[in-house]
Amino acid sequence: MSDLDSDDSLLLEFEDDDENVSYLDTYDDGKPTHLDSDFAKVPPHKIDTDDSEFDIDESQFSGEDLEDDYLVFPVKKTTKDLLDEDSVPSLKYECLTTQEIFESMISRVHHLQPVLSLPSQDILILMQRYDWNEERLLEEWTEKMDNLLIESGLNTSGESNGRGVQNGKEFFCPICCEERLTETFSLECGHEYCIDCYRHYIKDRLNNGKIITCMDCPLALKNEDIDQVMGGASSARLMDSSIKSFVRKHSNSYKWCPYTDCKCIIHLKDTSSLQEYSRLHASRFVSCNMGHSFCFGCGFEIHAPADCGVTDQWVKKARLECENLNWVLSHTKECPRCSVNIEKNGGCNHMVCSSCKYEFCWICGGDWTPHGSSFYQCVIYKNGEKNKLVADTPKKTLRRYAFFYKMFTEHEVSAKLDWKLGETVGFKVKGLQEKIGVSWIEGQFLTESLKTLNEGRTALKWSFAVAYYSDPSHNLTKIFIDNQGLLSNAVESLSELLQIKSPEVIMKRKTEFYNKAGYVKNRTKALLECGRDLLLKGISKARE
Amino acid sequence: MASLPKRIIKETERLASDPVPGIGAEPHEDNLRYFAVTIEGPKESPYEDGIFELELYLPDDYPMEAPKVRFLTRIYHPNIDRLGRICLDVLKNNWSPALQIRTVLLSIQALLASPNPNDPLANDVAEDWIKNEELAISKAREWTTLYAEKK
Amino acid sequence: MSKVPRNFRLLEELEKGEKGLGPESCSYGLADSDDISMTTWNGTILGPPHSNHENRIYSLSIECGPQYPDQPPSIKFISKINLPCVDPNTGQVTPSTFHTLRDWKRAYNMETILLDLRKEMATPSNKKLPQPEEGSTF
Repeated sequence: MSDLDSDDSLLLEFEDDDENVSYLDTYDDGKPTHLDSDFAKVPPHKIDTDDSEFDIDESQFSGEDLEDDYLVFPVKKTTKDLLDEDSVPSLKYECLTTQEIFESMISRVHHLQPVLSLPSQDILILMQRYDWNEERLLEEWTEKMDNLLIESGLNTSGESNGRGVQNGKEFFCPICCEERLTETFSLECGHEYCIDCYRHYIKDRLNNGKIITCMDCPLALKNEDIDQVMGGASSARLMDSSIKSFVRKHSNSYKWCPYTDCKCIIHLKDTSSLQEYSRLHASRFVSCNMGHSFCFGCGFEIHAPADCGVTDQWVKKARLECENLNWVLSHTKECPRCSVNIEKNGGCNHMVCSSCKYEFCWICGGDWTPHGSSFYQCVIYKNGEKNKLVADTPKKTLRRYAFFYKMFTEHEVSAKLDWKLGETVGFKVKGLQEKIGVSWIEGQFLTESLKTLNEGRTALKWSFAVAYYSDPSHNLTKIFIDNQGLLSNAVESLSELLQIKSPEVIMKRKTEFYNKAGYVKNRTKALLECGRDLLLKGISKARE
Repeated sequence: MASLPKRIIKETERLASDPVPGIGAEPHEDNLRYFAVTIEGPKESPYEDGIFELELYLPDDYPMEAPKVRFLTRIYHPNIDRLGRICLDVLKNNWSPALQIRTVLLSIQALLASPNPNDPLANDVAEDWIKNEELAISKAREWTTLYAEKK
Repeated sequence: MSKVPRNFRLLEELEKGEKGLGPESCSYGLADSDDISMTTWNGTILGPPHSNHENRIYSLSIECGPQYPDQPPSIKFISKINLPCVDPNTGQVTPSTFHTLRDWKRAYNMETILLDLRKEMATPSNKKLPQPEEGSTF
């Protein structure tokens, strides 16, 4: 006999539950998923993405096929792709939601039905008990049969009491000890309690992802019982939490997107290539359907050219030192010439004092002129050079670290501000359309440039972690630093371009956007390759 | 303070009128959710002849949430740590609102009768227990005489 | 809300401290892990930035008497510090000059005290006070 008709009830809409899996919930493998210093609390992309205007642009942006037509330099899209060009095997993965995973589980339940000849609600309970592993379930089933049903709280033979909600009656509830007119609920076991106590009991357990049983015996509540007591599709929340715990338990092949409020799960289909990745010091960067990219290995944001080891060390070190170094996180500085307080409001490090018009570099406080034209000197740390901010620190090593940490955080802060800038880019694209009739597709070069800027900035940021752990005397390190300088320069120049507000000027300088973005892409790629070389050759090594 | 739920009143009354042998539980006058508890060490266990003092508190959400219980008398037991905290499933994941103060205290008494060093809270004690059970038991007996002697 | 008794309240605080759920800038734990009465606690405060306390770690001793949390604990600096609410001879935090102890509420806890002391170190009138040599004790 087929039970398929009733199966519709299994395909419930998942509630938009407000309890999102938090960062810490998601990964309990001990790897840091966030830091306590300011820079790491919030990956840059997490800021203010609730702005709906911007969300739309982001999702529309996935039209990859557009870019070749609209970029002068046809370059590949993500850092992951950049790395793929080398010998690293490509990663096979899919992006799912808990709902999608649940649906695939339901289809397995359907497959099992003819084999087990049990109602699908019962099979669903068995699947939960065996952590959605049908092979193990079938094995145990052949061995134990009826005992399995008893163990799983499904055997109701010999029980004669009715199952379900009973109409209102005068009732003494042994849980709350109140005697009053109330509806009640019980399973076949006859353990009957008032509906309020049952609701409270079930509600507390919906998020645990475990089978809910009678309060006084092992008999299991099925989804239809839960919905009958709670009303609506409450069992969907239980299924959702059950899938979530399944994902947590299979963290080798399933990972949550670590971005706030993102409900995507990345499923790695082929885990065999992973070893190759760590051998090559490459990281397994993935992107979810919402366009969030992160490292599958450590759950951190994209951290190339650093590998997971360097990232882990760097993050730990930063956590240890952040209290000593919190001065670097300040957002305001005094103008080096007239001492007016200046707040940094864009990602670009080229500052112009609003009061005296002095142009200076945010990082070193020096005159901008030597930065803008040829070379971006701020990436070179000279041991002998007295840094005003750290001159009081007695230890030379701390001073060396302080410099790299400062560079790292400056780019972190810049990246955040760039992302804010991104929100206005959404408006700018709209402005292009409305004010001067540019088509939506044509306006996409702005969004594309912003993405490139972000990728460049991220690579630059993490390159300081690699540089910190590199042997400073080695020639390749010097080349790496040169590459940092070139990318730095390219990024600042693109960031500055993105500050332009007037739609007419933006359109007029469209080619410049293409060129500068293309240049940033090439420089990013060069820096990433060089960084990986440093790691491969052991010139840069994660260490305490 | 909000009035005491009927459930707590009922349980308190029954604990007084129909006490569990070897177990005493009395609420504090100024906080009726807070109980002074005594448990006699089970016969034929290293805790025999000891009287152990505990404290028990019924949180706001009781009986949906488990009671909180702690030993006040020092005890050498692999599932009880140096501060008297107890590792017992019914106090944690396996709590059910159908359980009661008396069933919890009975479970604790049963835990004294059969320690479970494979699921330890006090790791050093559990190690002793696995390495040399005889020695551990004699130490538990020693502590019982030392700290839990009948007054 | 019912009143959580002293010992269970202290166990909650201990667990929070053990699991490192509190803020990074201060920490606390039992002085003696055998002390079933949970009376004596150690605390540390990381000196606030942009002050003369920056980069210093201050040790404190906290006594939670039998009336805690109805009554505030008694708290004493072990590391030497120059602060108006601290007795210059003993290191004792004087309740009359420290608002958190003076206007004590049951909802306050050891973390509240440590964080408020840290704020006290960072007030404009206190942050530039000359401080005794680092590492010296009362």
